[in-house]
Amino acid sequence: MNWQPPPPPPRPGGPGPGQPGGQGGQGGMGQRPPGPGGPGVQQQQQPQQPQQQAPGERDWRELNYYQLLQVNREAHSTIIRYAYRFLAAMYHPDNSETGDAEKFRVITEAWRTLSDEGKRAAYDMSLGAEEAQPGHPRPGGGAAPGGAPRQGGGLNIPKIVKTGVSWEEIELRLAILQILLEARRKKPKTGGASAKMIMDVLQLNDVEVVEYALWYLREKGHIEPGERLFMITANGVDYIVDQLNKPASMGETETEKKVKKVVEGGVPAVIPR
Amino acid sequence: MQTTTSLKDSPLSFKLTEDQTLIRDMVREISENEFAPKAAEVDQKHRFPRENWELLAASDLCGLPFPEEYGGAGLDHLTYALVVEELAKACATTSVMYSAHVSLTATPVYEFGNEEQRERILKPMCSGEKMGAFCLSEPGTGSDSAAATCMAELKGDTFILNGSKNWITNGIEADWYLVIAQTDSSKRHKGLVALMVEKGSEGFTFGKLEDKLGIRGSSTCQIMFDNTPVPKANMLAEIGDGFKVAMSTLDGGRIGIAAQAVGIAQGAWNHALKYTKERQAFGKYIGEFQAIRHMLAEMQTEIDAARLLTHHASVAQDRGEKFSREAAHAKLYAAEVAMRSTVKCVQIFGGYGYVSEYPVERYMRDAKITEIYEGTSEIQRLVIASSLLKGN
Repeated sequence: MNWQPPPPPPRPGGPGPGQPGGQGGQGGMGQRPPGPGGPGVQQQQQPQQPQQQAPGERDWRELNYYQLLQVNREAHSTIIRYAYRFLAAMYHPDNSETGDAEKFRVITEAWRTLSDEGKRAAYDMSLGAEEAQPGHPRPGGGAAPGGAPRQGGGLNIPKIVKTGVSWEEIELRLAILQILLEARRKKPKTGGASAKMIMDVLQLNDVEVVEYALWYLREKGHIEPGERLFMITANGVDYIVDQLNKPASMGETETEKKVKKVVEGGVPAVIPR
Repeated sequence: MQTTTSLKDSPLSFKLTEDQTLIRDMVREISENEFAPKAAEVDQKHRFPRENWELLAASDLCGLPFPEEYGGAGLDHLTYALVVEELAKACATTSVMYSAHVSLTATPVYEFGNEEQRERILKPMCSGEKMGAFCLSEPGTGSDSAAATCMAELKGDTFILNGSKNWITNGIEADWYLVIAQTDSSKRHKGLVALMVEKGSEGFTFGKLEDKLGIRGSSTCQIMFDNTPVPKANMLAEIGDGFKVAMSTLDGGRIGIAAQAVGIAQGAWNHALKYTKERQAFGKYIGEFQAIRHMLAEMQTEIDAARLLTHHASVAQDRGEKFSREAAHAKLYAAEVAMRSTVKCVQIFGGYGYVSEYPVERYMRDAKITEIYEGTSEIQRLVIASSLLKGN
């Protein structure tokens, strides 16, 4: 369960004597990496882990991308880049002391995902809600290790995609609202998503369709433009609630059936507590 | 005989470790991309940039010098000074919010708090969930902190606080306030006590926000206590240790201010350098005139000297040595360099330096505070002289 950084690379390029996040023991999301917390920290203390540390393999594979790169879930893209650069220097197969082709590959994969705004948003959704507790780095390192991305559990959007429902307008609106709701729940003041992030999450390519839906939602006051992102409004939250209640009360139209299908498929199921 | 190899690990090698370089570069990049573009708006609107704080928290910087067991990053104070400098280069408001939290509030909790207090108070501060503020000055007492009139009366297990504190950085934004209060005015500095007061405590109110010359986005206000109960469990060290807590805290804080001053000076200098390569007069770039070149050279010489003094003080702190005088040297010199060189930078910009369209006037206004808070330049001279006369 424990991500244990090997000894530091003996060559320039990676921050030397430290090891990324001496706090490997937590595996917790969001702790320091090559970021501030990382390098130079005291030698790795890994008390909580009973000495079983089942040799690497399966363990570190269970870590999510944030844990792999040892960065905070909310980490700024710059931090992610520095973290990757540090770890890549450490695990690059050319590094005769600490090189590890497999880890290098996985870290690179993590980097490819997290360095792209849209892919990162999609990945965050796939990580599931309970890991995405709001707020800041919890000192204790919140999530248990082993938080591998759960594909399409509970209420996350990517699952809808798999139902193969074709995107009627109303469903698209609901899905967009749902994405924005998730984002806002995590960060009530600033959480939102850009059109590109939405398209990536929903795996849509049609700009016009998405922009049309965004225009509609904005005119209706369901969403508002934030600094750089669209954010859901209280109206928008109510709208989701309404949509969820409808099919139960009225005769079902074709569209409503589809909405219901989506809903049962696990989409908006959870309304803000 | 001493060999030269030992020099490699000595601070006299004047070389940062790879970790230090990495973090400095990372913070520099974040500051340039995220903090610098907003700095003018923050200044003009007197807006506290809470989002900058959140970004610092998400970057795990809020507990930088504290051990990992308290959620810190376990890094040294030299790294801390580098971070503060980078922040100040971009946005002095952000750097003061950060240094008031780390050196003035979290540090004393770590240094003087017991295990329970470190768990309860320091941990959330390291994660950035809670912000700290330091409350020493009063309306009637600034440098003479032993004359504090804010009274703390112990009744059973609770102190009852009465009085007010002035110039509180992070004023209304903070969550924990380190308050130095008097338990017995006849004892002067031997009667002081250091209390951690939580926002929202009964009878704890805020005055209006100050309209300041510089660091205008920073939230500065008066705070008032009217029979505010503070549990004894929130006391750092013992009754009578308040003065010691305050002075030791300020020693460390001065390194932060020195770093901030270096950052302000360097930030203004960078703008000036760029301008001298863009602006033309009499048919050539002003950077080709000797008058301008001399200014640039002099300024950078002084800034580098100030930076070395600052690093010297932080390395002494990291080695666990006494560093009061070193910190005072650094703060005194760096603050004066910041003021001098930002004035020169405005001069280089000429008329454009005097208007807010260009950023240098902001740096000049921001620089002034470094000569005033956490011990004025006069107090620094006093600290230095008394240390020298004692033979330290």
